Amino acid sequence: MFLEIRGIKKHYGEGESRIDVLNGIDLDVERGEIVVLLGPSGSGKSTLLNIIGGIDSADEGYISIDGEKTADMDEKRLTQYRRKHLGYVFQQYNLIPNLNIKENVEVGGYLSDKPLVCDDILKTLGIYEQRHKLPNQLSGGQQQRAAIGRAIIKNPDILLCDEPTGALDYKTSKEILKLIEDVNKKYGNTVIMVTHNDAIKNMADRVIKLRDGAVRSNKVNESKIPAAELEW
Amino acid sequence: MKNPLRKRILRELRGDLGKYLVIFLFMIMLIGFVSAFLVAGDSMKKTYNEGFIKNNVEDGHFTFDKEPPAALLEKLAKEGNVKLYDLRYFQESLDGEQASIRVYTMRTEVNLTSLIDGKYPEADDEIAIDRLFARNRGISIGDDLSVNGRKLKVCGLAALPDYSCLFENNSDMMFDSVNFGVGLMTQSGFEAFDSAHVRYNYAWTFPEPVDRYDDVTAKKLSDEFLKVFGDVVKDSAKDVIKDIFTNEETKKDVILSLFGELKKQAEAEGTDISDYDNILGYAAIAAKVNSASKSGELTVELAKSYAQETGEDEEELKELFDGISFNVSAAEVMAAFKASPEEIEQAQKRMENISERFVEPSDFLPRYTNSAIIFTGNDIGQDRGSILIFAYLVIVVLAFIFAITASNTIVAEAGVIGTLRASGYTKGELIRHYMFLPMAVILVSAVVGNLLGYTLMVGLMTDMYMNSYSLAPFEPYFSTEALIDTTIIPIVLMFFINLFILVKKLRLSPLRFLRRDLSSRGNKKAFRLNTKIPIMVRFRMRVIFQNIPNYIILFFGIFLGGVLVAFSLMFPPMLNDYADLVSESLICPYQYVTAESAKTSEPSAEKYCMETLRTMDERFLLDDVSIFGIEDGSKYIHADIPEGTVIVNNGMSAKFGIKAGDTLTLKDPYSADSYTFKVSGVYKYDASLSLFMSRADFIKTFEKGEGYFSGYFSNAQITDIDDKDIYMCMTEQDFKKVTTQLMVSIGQFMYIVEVFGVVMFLLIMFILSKQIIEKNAKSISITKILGYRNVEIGGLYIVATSVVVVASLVISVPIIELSLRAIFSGLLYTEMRGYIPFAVPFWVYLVMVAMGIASYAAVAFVQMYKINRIPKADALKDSE
Repeated sequence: MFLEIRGIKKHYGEGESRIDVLNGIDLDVERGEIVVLLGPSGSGKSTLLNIIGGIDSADEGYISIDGEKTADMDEKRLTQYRRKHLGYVFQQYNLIPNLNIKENVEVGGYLSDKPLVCDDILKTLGIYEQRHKLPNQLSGGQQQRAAIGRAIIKNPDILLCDEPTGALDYKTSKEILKLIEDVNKKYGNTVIMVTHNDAIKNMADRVIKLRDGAVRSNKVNESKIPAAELEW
Repeated sequence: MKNPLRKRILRELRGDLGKYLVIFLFMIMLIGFVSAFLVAGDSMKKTYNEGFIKNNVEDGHFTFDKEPPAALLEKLAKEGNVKLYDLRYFQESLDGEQASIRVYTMRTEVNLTSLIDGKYPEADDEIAIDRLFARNRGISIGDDLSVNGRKLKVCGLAALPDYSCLFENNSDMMFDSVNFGVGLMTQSGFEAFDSAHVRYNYAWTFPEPVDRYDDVTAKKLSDEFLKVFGDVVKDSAKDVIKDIFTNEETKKDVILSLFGELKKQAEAEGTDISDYDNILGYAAIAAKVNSASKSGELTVELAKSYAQETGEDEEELKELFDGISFNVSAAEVMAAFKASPEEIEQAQKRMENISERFVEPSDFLPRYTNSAIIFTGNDIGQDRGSILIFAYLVIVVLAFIFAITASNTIVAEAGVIGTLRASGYTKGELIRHYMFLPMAVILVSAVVGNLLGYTLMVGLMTDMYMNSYSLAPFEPYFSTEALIDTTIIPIVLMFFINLFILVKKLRLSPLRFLRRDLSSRGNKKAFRLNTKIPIMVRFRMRVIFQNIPNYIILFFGIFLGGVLVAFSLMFPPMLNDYADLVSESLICPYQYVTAESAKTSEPSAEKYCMETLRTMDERFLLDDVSIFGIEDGSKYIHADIPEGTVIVNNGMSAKFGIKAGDTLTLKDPYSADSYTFKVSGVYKYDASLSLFMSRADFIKTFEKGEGYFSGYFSNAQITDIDDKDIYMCMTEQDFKKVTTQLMVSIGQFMYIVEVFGVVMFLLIMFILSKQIIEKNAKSISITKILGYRNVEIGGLYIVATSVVVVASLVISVPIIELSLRAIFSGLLYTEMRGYIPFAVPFWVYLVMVAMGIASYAAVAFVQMYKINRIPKADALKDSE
């Protein structure tokens, strides 16, 4: 199994204010799958994504990517793990304001020994013409494309997307989702996407529903449809 | 692949050009100034040190009031194992001016001079004078100097290595390059001048090349020579005595003189000595004189009579006369009886002139204690430590400004940093990124600053030294030490301060950055402010609380700038105050040092005794202290001095912390003798470091003859003492020359310091208030959307900072006062001779605060413009 998630528990706070966010999550993800994590606010989906991404730690359990367990890693190795295996896309695009679009994408490429060709990515993402513009000269959708470009240029094993369309309108959201799908097809990355938008599950290979820190369902999507055909 | 983040650097620089330019220019100025200061100092010191060998600078000199016999000099050279050089000089006043000039002949062997401009004298009426003296008095080559009624043409400007610092007397508190200068004439010109004030000065050098920078060796050799010197001079006096009493003609004069005295005494007593005018009488007198001579009675009588006549020490004379015996024959006594009154009178006159055959040393000054030579060496680079500490403090402040800027950027870019960290960027990569600009700025500033320091600014610093010292021209040379001080250390400081802050700031997890949860103390709780406080006031208070780290740096910067401004402003009034204090506490308008034989009928004249001893406290430069022996019930010193004790002046008390009940040990500068005094009080007298005791105690302490005195205190000018018997007359002007010189020497330096202080104010206020505005750009934008006018918004943000600026300026005043006092007593008092009371008038602080406020007003104006330009749309955009 490419990604093994076993017995992940996580809580925040102590005493009366203790909140158990994850109560023992077990999951397996195949290489190249698009996985959608669904659930209401507070269900623990972002926390789980952050633990997979090595930017948060679990109280118990482990994550293993290609046999490498993140729990055994010190901070330095975790950084290397993220550098080698992961790409991140957030709801806030978090682009560097005084770097142009191409440079923002290159910031991601710097982390890889064999980055993809930046111009190809920009073309794939449809922002090649805007490559010399600064982030604040672009629309939200274009900025999110650049953020995806920054994440995928290093051709990560796993692309972690935390509400990537949360700040976008319907049309732009669909374009972004299509882009993620295209990237997955073209580069074969595993995509784990957190969303509260139920419709997005339809583009996934696997849909995992979380509630109160537990997996309520974990199903392979038999009726997968292209992102462009999603409706909500 | 190069890190694309580096592309931000130039854009960051361009985006905040104003800030970086100001810091950059300030750093260049600072590093350039410090570098130039160090390079000029190091280069000068090198030239100065090399000059000792190159110019064969004396190892010391001694002076006689009369030309010593050649045999004495030969004996000194032989027994002292030194080489002697005739460096006689005369000193005359410039006609119609207060200044005087000490003129030497051209040197060929020792203390070789450097010609700076023009030429050396060739004709009898030509003179080359010291460059600094010429500059301070506005004398140029080609000008005529009117000296004692004679015209001398200035043909050149020179530097004399034995006067690198123009001290007229070694006991002077400060050199005086305004009113005292030195010059060179040809041998024939010197002789033709025929001055009545020639001093017979001889320099010596030790035969072996002693380690000229090692005071211990120099002191040891000098002390050995001093002993030889004392013995030889004493022996020479003994030789003169012996010669007198073995020379038949002199013997006759002695007998005739004594006979004349005897006759006068007999007439006064009404007795008739003609009873002895027969052969028996002659024999009886001869027998009595011979018997008195053998028993030593005559020695005592002679010493007493001679001491009264010449003012010499009676005990020393007794020692000299000891062992000398007369063998007077009856025939010689008879000749005295037969001599005419005219013959007796002539013999008595010849006896009076015998004193001319005694030479008295008036100065013995080893080089290591000669301020005219060593003060420059001690002073150059003396401020190095203080200047570097100041520079490092400024760099620390700038480093913190950079660190705070980076810290604010990190807060603003938290999401980006979280994303980068989550994507795999290491902390090290981000730290390097954020450290690049400050390090680049300091590195480039150091390079440019050093280049300027070695080229353009070194001249400025050289001028500063050249305003004080008479040095030969020099070339700046590369100094590794200066490079370390001005480049390596600032870079290291900048590196570690930024590293410390950035490591601390970036140690949070990527998740904390993504959540913008950057508080190191967990979730901050907004503390409550009393709702009775108007909302606008609370708003400003929140702005202040939000920016406390910025304001701490602002306060520190204001404090440093304030120290500089106050330091530069305080000197002129302090020196003026000191001049006033000197006037107020002057013992008398005319203080004379005279021959002991000098008598006056001036009614206000009062005898006093004076000696000069030297301090032994090695924490300070060794100071000369005037020891006064005062008449009981003195008209001039109004103090009761208990017997066996002394009172010290307030300068001694303030500088060395001496108080009543303490004991104080001082040493004789010209021997190994030391004296311990019991202090019974402090006396207000500001003109020099002094100690007062009763005249009786003085005579006892210094083993002087009864009736001994050194001169007169007088309210009026004394006109009935022969000029040759007046060694010195000190007036208010003489005591004030320290202030005149300090004003000349430090004027330019203080101006530089003041400019630095004001620039520091502007820099700190500009950068930090700018940061505060930028940090709050979004809030400002929101308040604009809400309908606040720019003036009202300025009132919120600028007034908050204004309050902090004014409060910082006011709070810093007492801290600056304490700091200046500490600088004064900790640094200046240990680095300067004499004493100037620390007194900073309050207006100095008022001006400092006003300059601070004016600086902030300029900055606020710029910031107001910045607030006006913040677009309303900023509030609606993602902050990143």
